[in-house]
Amino acid sequence: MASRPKRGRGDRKLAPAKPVTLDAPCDYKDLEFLIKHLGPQGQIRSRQRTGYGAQDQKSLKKAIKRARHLALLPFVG
Amino acid sequence: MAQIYEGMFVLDNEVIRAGWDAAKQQVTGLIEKHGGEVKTARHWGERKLAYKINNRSRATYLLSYFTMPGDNIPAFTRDLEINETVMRYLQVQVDELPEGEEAEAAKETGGEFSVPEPPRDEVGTYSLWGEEEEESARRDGRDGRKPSSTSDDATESLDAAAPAESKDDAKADAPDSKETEEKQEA
Repeated sequence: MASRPKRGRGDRKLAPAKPVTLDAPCDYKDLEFLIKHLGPQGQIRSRQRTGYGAQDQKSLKKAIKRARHLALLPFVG
Repeated sequence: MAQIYEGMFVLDNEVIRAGWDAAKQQVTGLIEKHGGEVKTARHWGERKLAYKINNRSRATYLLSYFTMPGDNIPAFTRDLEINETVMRYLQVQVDELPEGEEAEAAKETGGEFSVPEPPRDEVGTYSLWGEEEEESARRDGRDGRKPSSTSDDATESLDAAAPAESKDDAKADAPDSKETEEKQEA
């Protein structure tokens, strides 16, 4: 059995046991959805936190950055 | 066939006060000037901006779908940059018009549609969670958003920052305690 990383300063919450997949690419207009993937200061949640694969995480990143450009989301919270 | 684009335009409220149709005409006119065909164009709400643009903290959004020959896009964007009504723009290639978009846009052409006058610039505050939360709470009849999954961590952490929350409670809830740790580090 693989040992869990020790809890401490650099500790990260583990990815969900089952990877999450999206049905469609993220839309920058769907703010309620995007907000769920932001940290308290508006940071994009890491792949470890969201549980998305490369493709989905990339589409999420893109959508959030588009929303930021239009001032729908903050760059810094 | 020319590519379909989705364009989102952030418009200056000062111009909107003079009349929504005139402001919309400015954008659709630009699209047509560059050989584009406007499929739909509609009001996408007036809201507080996440940060100031051109010293404005509120703005109106215009969502439009249009076709345009790809070669004309650079000239079109240059005109948008020069135009003072359009404060920001974003255009994205899409495969097809989304369902229901035409019906939404058609509402504006009906006689009864009117855009309310935008509030003063300083009215309201932008909050990442606040506005949405209030709106959804009003819509669903809920009192505040109850965190249901890890995705709502951030709201939880804000709650955790409140003095009412005792330390033990925070520890019992794993994501919560993590968030508070993060906050302290920051």
